[in-house]
Amino acid sequence: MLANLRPSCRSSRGAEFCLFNQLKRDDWFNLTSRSGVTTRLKRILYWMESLSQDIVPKESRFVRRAALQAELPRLLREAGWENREADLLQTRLLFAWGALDYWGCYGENFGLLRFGRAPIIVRGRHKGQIVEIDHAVPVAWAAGLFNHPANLIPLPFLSNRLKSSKLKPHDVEIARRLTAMGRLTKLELATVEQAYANGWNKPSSLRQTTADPPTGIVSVITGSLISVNSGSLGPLDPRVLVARIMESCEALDGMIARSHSADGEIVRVYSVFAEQASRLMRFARCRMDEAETDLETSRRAESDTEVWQDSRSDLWLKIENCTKEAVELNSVANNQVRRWRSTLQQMEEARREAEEELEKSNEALDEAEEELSDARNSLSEAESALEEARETTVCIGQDRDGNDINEPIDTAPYERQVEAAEELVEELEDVRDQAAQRVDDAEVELEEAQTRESAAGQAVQLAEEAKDRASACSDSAKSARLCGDELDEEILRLSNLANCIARHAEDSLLAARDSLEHTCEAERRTTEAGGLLQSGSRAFNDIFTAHHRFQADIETRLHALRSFDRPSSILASFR
Amino acid sequence: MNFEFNELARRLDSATVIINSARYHAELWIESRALARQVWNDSCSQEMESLYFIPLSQNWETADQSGGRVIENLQEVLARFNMFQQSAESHARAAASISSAADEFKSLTNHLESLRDSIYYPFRECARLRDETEDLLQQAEDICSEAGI
Repeated sequence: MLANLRPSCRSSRGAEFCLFNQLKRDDWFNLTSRSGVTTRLKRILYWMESLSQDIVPKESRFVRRAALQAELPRLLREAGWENREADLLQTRLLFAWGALDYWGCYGENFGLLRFGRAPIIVRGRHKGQIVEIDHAVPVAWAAGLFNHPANLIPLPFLSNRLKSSKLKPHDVEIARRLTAMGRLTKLELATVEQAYANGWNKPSSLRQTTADPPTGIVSVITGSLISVNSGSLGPLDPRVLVARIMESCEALDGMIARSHSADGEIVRVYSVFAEQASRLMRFARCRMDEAETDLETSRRAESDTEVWQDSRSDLWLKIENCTKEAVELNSVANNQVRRWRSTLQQMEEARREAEEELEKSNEALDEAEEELSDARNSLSEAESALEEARETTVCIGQDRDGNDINEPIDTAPYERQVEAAEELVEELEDVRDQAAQRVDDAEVELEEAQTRESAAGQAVQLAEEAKDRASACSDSAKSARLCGDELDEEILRLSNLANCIARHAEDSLLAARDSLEHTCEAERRTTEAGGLLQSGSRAFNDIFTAHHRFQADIETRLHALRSFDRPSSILASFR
Repeated sequence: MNFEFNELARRLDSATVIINSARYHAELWIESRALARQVWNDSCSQEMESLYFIPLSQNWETADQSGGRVIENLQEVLARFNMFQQSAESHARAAASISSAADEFKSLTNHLESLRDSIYYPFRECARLRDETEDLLQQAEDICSEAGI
């Protein structure tokens, strides 16, 4: 069922399928290289984590572990692992998965595991070291456990260096359990136990023996350890040859492991640099866009400043016109005030003259009436005198009767006096009428003069009000001028700010261009490094291939050497 | 803005240390080749030399040179990153100054607009007062004209 699933499927079934593929028992035992077994375990850890995240995403470590515990037995069974071996393998795999989780290797380094690369520890006291997969029971002691996944353990770089070929109690326990399952011979178990007993569980200074690990120097007859430096063996003794060849192989293994580690580290560092270069390129492009925006802002600021400069010119033209109009208006209002005041003075003078004329006319009328009255009295007296004269007679003699002959007196003088008095009265009446007429005329003239005076007074009042308005207009023009001065200052500030923005925008553009240039160069060098890395990786691959061939060849030769050593055991059996 | 250049430099140093360690092991191995030569007889030694040791050494040299040049390139890249950071900081300073100046520019523009509006008020006042003045002077003319002055 699992085999029918597509491996690229990134669902829990996809992760299951991939994990199943990596767990296949037969495939494990066909692995012949160290890199092959370590890469495979890393992939298993990758797919275990993927599976746990697919089953219970965003859950705690314990929940994910429980999920894996539930899934692993079935997968191991389907992959060909059985009974106690499956149980041991499950325990070991969960331990390795938990260790990587504890070190925080399922973060940014997670993807490296999929390609068999070593993740970097990001948490805990081993932070910054890469994780190496090594054998819990060193191959030097138990070559049979070389490709058994239960014998693999993730260790921080330095811890692995310190561990070297040392054995720990639980390593021996693993060796015992695997021997019980038939994965290790009793001879190899004896070698492990003896090595542990000889002090290979302690630092070199505390070891009972100061010799190097007796790699492969195990007697094929007795199974006991034989020292390479033993004086009893000649330099061409097969066992010595095996030991010396194994030394050379170990040195090569060390070189290969270090080369692999160096290659992995360079690849990791390169990928971080490449990612960083890519990030910085995006960042630099964003900064270029921002710099362009800043430049646009600067242009807008300059344009706005020009608009304000034009606006300033218009405003000052208006202010000047306003001021000029206010000055002219003041001048006109002042002239009008002076003019109407002068007119008012003239009108007052005219009124006073009219009053004097009226007074004179009244006096003349009174005088004429008085003279007329006197003339009328004279006329009356003359008429009385005439009347009396007419009645008065003068005895000019006597008549016959003796009566006095009275003769009226001559009235002509009286009549002439009356006539003269009448003429005088008539004349004086004319004079009085003329005087009365003059009085009437003077009164009309006075009334007109008073009216004109009043109008001139009103005109003066209006002109003064107009003068006040013109003065207020001047004040407004002054106020506009003050505002204009302030506007000038602010526009100058605006211009300075626009210049400042332009300067900074230029700096910003230059800096952004520099950034882009540096990033382009960094990207170019990164690409070049990528090419070199590929050729280096190809060379590494060739090394690994040659190494595998070499190992196989050496294995054959060692087998031949051991076979060469076999007759002594055969002889012993015959004996 | 944190580009973690120190972390990058640390990792590059770490990679360089690992490369040097690998070189050391390669030298150890080259020394141990002499041992292999001793172990085998001459013909076998030559065969091993041509079959494995020479290709291994050549490939190792190629890989080592490539690794060294990769490190050199990455060191140059790191230097460029540092220069980039300086430029980016300079750009950030300029951008901050522009932002601040642009804000000030905007507030100054608003102030100028209110100032321009405040200039228009005296203009309107001047026009009104001029009309009133002319009206009053005309009234004075009319009154006097009516009065026959």
